[in-house]
Amino acid sequence: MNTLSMRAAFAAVFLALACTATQAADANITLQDAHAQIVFGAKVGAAYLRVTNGSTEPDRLVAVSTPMASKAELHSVIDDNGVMKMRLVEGIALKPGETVELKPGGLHVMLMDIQPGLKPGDTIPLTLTFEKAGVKSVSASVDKPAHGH
Amino acid sequence: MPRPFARVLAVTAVLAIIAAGAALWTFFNAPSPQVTSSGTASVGGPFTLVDQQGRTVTDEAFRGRWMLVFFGFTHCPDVCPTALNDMSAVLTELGTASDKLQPIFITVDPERDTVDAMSQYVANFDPRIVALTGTPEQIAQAAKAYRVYYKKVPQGDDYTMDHTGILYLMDPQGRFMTHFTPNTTPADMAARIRKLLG
Repeated sequence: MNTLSMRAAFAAVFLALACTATQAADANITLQDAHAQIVFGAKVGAAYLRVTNGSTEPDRLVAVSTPMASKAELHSVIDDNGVMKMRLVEGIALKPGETVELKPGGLHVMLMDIQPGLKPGDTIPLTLTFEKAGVKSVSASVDKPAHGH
Repeated sequence: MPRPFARVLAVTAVLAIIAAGAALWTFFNAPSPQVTSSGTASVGGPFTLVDQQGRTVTDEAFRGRWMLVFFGFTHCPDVCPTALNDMSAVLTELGTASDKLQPIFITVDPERDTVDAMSQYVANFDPRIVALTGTPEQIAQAAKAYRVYYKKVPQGDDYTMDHTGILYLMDPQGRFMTHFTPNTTPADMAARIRKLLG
């Protein structure tokens, strides 16, 4: 085998491995219990979900988008001695095997300028972008307000 | 008993009596400790604000009922809806005793939280919640009375508000009784309020 065909063979094997790795990582991100707390008539809302990185590689959730809001951002809430501070986070790191829960009072997806007319039970499609696993989609169902009417 | 030991014993006894005397003297002559309290008097006080129907209200309007007061803002997707959901759940949990309780939501973002914005926002929660806004000066006065911290923080091309997330329980005379941190469950809150309502 000459050097050129050796290189080609290596490249082919490398590519095949790389593709398998990407697919495996993609298959190993699980998104569960996606729901959204929408205050009807308000411009902003929050979406919550559980993200599990089932792969053996660390990953990172870097962005969220939805067609139902003008902007979606990853935010965290910090309780600084009773003072609640909401801050933009650049991304959420996921260790191998780790589950991160976005939940009230902590990490959440902030939805800005939400499309009016959403009702409890409607769904908000969310597109999550991961550094390694790529793009994943999930539907967040709109919660019923605590006081039904 | 050998003599040296007896002498040691005697000296020890004398020293003990002196020490006891000194302790007693100190006890009776020491100045009484200064009692300082930062409790009841410092949280709460007069305010004049505007409710979700556009009516001017003062703190006096709520005398005779307990007040559960929370400061927040409507461009708040997480902490504030959670607190207002909790307030709604507390009312449900209290049942008929909820007649004695007036939940109040005061904005710290008067710039965006007009009467209309407040009215639409609280329509999502228990209708017994009173939502109050006002001029920046009126809001500053109310927040100062309740020792609430709030600050406008730029975020991207928009802004958010840092704010104290504590719920304050005031008695029917408007005096501070207790507070609840944001992570208190509605069931816990209702149980503690029920005890105080008597």
